Amino acid sequence: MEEHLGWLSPEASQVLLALLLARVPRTEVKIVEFALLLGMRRSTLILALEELSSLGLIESIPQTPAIFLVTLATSQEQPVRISGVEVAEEEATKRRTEDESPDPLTACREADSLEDPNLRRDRQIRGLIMVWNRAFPEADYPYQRLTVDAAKRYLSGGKAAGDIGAIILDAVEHATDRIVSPRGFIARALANAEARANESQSQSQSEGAGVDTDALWRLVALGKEQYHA
Amino acid sequence: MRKRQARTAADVSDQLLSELEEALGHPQDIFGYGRYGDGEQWSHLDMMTGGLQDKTLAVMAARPKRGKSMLVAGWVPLIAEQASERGEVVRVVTLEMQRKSYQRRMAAIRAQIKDPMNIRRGKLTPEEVVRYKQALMDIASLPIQYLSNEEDLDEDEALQLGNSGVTFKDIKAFIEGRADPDGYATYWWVVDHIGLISDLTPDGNVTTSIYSLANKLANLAHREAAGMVITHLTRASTGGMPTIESIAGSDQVGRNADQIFLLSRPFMDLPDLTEEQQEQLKEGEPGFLQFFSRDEGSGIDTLWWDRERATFRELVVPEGVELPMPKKANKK
Repeated sequence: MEEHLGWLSPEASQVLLALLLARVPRTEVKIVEFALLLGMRRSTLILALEELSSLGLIESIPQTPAIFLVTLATSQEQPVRISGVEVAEEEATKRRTEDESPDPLTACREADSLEDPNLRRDRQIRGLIMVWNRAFPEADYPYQRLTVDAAKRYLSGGKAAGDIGAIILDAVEHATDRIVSPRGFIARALANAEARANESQSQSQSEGAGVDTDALWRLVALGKEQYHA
Repeated sequence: MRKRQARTAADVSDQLLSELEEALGHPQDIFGYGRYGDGEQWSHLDMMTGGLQDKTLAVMAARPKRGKSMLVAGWVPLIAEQASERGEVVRVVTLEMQRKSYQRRMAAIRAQIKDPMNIRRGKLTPEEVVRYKQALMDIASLPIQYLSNEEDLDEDEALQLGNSGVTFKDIKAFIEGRADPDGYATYWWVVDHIGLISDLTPDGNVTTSIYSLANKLANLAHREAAGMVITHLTRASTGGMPTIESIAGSDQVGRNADQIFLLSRPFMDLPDLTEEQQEQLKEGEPGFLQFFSRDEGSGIDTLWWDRERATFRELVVPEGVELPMPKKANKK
């Protein structure tokens, strides 16, 4: 953990210290209340949590916009180091300085098509990290790398790495200004994409549900009657 | 920069008490500053909405080709008659059609022209010619001003974002009356349609741009005068009624509105109509105007799309007649 401390912003340090002093490894952080206690803005607190999460110092999962489930990565328990994935992360880390992959999206899609679930997840994570490195080069975003945990969260619910990767690259390509907080920006892009997908599903469901056509035809008769009156 | 004045609860209670005294002194169903109709036409709509509400932004949304512009164009002269009484003007921003086409459309509706295409074909009946000329003269006397595209857009062009030469800045100056040498205040305004305002570009961040534009238009309505923005629904519930979610999710405009109107014509989404059924719809078909408001509740106005005259009017639905409401889609 110490190796990360030099990278932390003062706000992230303050949040980390507060979490450590609470001596609870896993807690639900109520954003409004916690921000008030720390004397910082809610947006600053969320950015600080993202920063800590991106460095693997905590695992922060929004339950609602106002409540985040935060797990501390203690020295005994290193959630970033999960066997089987560790190799992928290390390899990906090595590659961060090299742009050796011509098409990370293809890598994601190939990973999605693998049958072995363990291998598939490993390759999907690797693919997403490659996508992230393409979207947010380490030279420009040295402290905002995609962690294995974050990649796993993106893939939760059986999502395809190819779809996630495409959304990430598309969102970055269409950004009009420099992206200050990649994690927040991508989280919003993914949420928007999910909302659109739900809407589309709702649309196809309502197509199936349809309208009461008998009642519609009765209205046609009524309309004609009034039209001719 | 404009200063924002803090208002206390006491200030607001004073305002609400004045509003109550005013309402008790003049009890009426149409509590807005004006009507969409004239007391006869669009009376159900006026009852449902309470009329035009001061300093509000309304959004009219429907899938393309449902007749949104036709519907609103039918209201414009009726609203302009009321504007005239107050010495104010109705300002129309028409980005899909030139001002000439827009006014031809309004006049055709007012004159009840059976097939509006016959105007340009020169094939109106003598009675229609008289009515059309009279409608043009009536409209000429109304306080209506246009800010328009210089040429009509075809169907595909009208769907391309930002495809007009008119910017938000132009619209703001127009609605604020800065381009009017006589400086008349705006009674009501309409933008047809938001997707064509040239601040939007298809290659930019469309969601952000349209959100920002909708915000600016809402501010304009809240500060200057009530108005309406027309927008396309891109993902309405085909085969059923559009939903508020379909407008909010698709383009952000609905999120900024004080009132939302969703226009639908269910027969347009019904596939495989037989020839016999199509024949039955030759004269017209029903439509629905759903209304949602932050302050005035919600409701539904049943319309008749008069196919020959290319215009809407209200259907009087007797009590007990069931409306063909779609089943609610299950949300995941």
